[in-house]
Amino acid sequence: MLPTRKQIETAAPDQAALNAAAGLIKPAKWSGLGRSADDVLVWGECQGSGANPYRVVADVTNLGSKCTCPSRKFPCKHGLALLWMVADGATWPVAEPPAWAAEWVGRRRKGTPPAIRGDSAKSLDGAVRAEPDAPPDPAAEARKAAAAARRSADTRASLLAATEELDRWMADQLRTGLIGFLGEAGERCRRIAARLVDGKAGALAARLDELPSRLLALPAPERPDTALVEFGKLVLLCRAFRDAPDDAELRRELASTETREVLLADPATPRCASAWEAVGEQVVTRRDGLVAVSTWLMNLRPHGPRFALLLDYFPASAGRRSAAFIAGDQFEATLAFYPARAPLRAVIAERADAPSPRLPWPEPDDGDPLAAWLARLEAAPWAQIAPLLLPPGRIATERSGAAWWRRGDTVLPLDGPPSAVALGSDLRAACGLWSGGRLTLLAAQSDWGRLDLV
Amino acid sequence: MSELGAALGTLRGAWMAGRPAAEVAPAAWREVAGAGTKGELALAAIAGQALEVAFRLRPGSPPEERPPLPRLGLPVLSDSAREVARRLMASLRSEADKARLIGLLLARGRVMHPADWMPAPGDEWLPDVYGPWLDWLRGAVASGAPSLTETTWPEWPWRACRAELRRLRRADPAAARALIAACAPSEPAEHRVQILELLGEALTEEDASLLAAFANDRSPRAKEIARSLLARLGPGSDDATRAAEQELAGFFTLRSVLLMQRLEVHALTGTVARARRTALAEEVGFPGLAAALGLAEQRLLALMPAKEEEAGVLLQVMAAGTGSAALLPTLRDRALAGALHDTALALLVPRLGREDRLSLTAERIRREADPLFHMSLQLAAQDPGALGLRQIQGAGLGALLSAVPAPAEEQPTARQARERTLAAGLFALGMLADAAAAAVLLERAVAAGLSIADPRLDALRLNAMLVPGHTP
Repeated sequence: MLPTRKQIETAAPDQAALNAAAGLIKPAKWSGLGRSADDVLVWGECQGSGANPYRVVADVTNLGSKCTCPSRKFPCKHGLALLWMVADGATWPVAEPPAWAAEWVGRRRKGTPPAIRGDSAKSLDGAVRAEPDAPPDPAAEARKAAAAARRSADTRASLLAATEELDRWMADQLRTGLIGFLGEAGERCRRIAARLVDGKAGALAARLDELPSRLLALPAPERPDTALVEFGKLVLLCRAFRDAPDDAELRRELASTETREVLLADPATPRCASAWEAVGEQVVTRRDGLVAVSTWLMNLRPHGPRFALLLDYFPASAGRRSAAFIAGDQFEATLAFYPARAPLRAVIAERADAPSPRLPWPEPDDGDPLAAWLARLEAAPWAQIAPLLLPPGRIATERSGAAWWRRGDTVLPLDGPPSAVALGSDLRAACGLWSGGRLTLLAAQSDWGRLDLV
Repeated sequence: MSELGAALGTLRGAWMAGRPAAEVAPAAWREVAGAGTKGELALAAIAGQALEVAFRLRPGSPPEERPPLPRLGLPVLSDSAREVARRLMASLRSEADKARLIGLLLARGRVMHPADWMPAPGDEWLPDVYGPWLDWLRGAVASGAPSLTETTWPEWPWRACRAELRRLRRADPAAARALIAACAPSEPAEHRVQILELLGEALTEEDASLLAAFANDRSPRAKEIARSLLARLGPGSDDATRAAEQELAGFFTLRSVLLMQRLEVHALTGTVARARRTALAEEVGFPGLAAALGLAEQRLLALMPAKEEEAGVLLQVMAAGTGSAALLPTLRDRALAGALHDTALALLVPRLGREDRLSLTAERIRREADPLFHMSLQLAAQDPGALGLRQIQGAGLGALLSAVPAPAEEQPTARQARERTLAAGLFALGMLADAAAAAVLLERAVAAGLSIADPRLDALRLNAMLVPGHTP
């Protein structure tokens, strides 16, 4: 039984949610739409304001829904939009529900549809009714522009001051001895991070905040050099920003990222239409209470950047998030890259279905496996990480248990114990992240097929 | 060490101690970096980049590659089946349930993909087909020896050795006996137990002298198995065993009343007597007890008290565990009639052939209204995924499907119990049903109200995908 518009109105938390859902009932906003053979479940992926698409599944019999967006409203605008499209007669191909939909079904407790209240103030028709534009007010526009310019100037000044403060702090650490710094890294980094947040340098603060845990994850003999390397990168970043405070990439490294809307609206934003494979996802809870979800994509065609990073942040209080992609998913998409000297971070501008048949991985270069890392450093010496496509190799372990990726005499240390299948496989190609000191394997093609190594 | 390495070491030393690095930096670097605080920071930037670009970590000792993970003797699941199997295996907590899933895949000619699941090195419960993975996980190198002999025995990884011994037991039992006699005594207890369990398959009189050698094994479990198997072969030949048989027989009296024989059970005088009788029953075999009572085994079986009585259970367990092979058809018939205690049934079933096992399982399902199919799962342990729809239908299935819809006003504890029942019962069905029955049961569960995507249907879904003889 299909949901009715009245039921959707009743189920909506407020009119604002319906208004927002109205903007999402266009099929172009969705991909992967499908329904179960018993016409109970519908699902799809909706590109929201984040880098990763949101996965939405709904039960049309009782209007239950689940979405990976961070909204605290229930149902969220994506769930409402999906049900709204069904109520308006949209029909999609019958398919086997994807694993992420099955996971929701397994966890949920079924309820009954909300009772319809006749005097509901919420209205789907009201949501689609266009609000008339207010008449232009040149004076108000001028005041808004002036305020924005003042804010921008204030932020610029704050960030410049933050870089000077960070320089002074690093100089102090060197002057008083790295032994002392390494012994108190947690406390010292926390203090400077707090001051950087006050100076509007949120991204820089997060980088300092994460430094102690990075150091502690390493054996003690490696920590001094790692700290020095990071200080060196921060020195270069701060200098670069002082030389070009309006550079978008440098602003992003210090403060915050421009919104998806701003990025897509800029005609100069570099785009790449290609076939992509999700090679791995990392979910990290940061010290500042945000959960960083990184989805690494590999370009399966020869043109454009080899890799892309979709990066979203959610508050940890929003709860556990489902993955936006299943490792190994392939899809056609146009990615819009955040402008950078070595573009990596991107958002999905447009998305289409998976290529058929599946595309093979590109051939890795046969030279230095860290060539891509060195190229990235040359362009952006403050970079902390680079995705790599490694040539054929194997995993080998020392007597101590430390694991290495190896090809001939070239060895790269892994950041954790490898799985048994990785140890016993011939890795014909591998994707991983190089952090300057450790390799995190994401996926590999092997004699056992594709391996998901995260 | 290179000049660059030396320079960096000097700078690092200065900064570690809190001394200005400019004093010890190479002149060319000082010139580029400048003076003062900015100069120190610039030197840090130069040093940091040099460390990252010019130096790479090397291992402390030469890393070694493991041998390739061996292919098992059966194909892995297809990609579509892998997704379901991976999810299902991840949801299973008990070793018993994992063993059931592994057994179902094996029955359909498949094994798990190593990227989806790998055993732990100590998972001895795995069937022989997974032996190469267990040996690989333990670092045991596959033997290059062409055959398993007394000389090559130490070269064989354990699971490979065990699988070969099982094959030899079927192909050349005398050779297998000779090999066991020569090599098993020096194996650890865990291995001796497994070897003795092998002897339980196709046990004959010729195994008696070999078993006698393990009858006083230092491992209690090995000793128990050896004595149990010996007991199946007939009454004891040594004085101690015969004395025990006589002592146990002393707890019973055979009376003849009007040409009818009856076996009377002596009333026990207390817990000590009860404990002694129980201990003797574990030590003595059924053929030995029958002989001590002057009866044939079949006759003793016919005279046994009912299963509801304590002595009846005791004797049934003895018969099922140590009765001779000739007794098995009679015991099977008793079980089909519902006249065998569950403890005895559990001992009997592994000794029966496949047809008998499946008949007993189907009969059990027919008799019981257990939505969890608890005992049926145990009975079908050697024959996963073999029951047709007609054999599964019954009160248990009805009880399970009626648990699908949630009652109105259901309390949280009741809901949790109902959901646990559903999860366990649907898994059990997935392990019991053949592929055709699994497909029908899947439809019925959805018709009862479960979502087609419900992961609790994964066992049925996977079962239905694995049609014997087809590539899923």
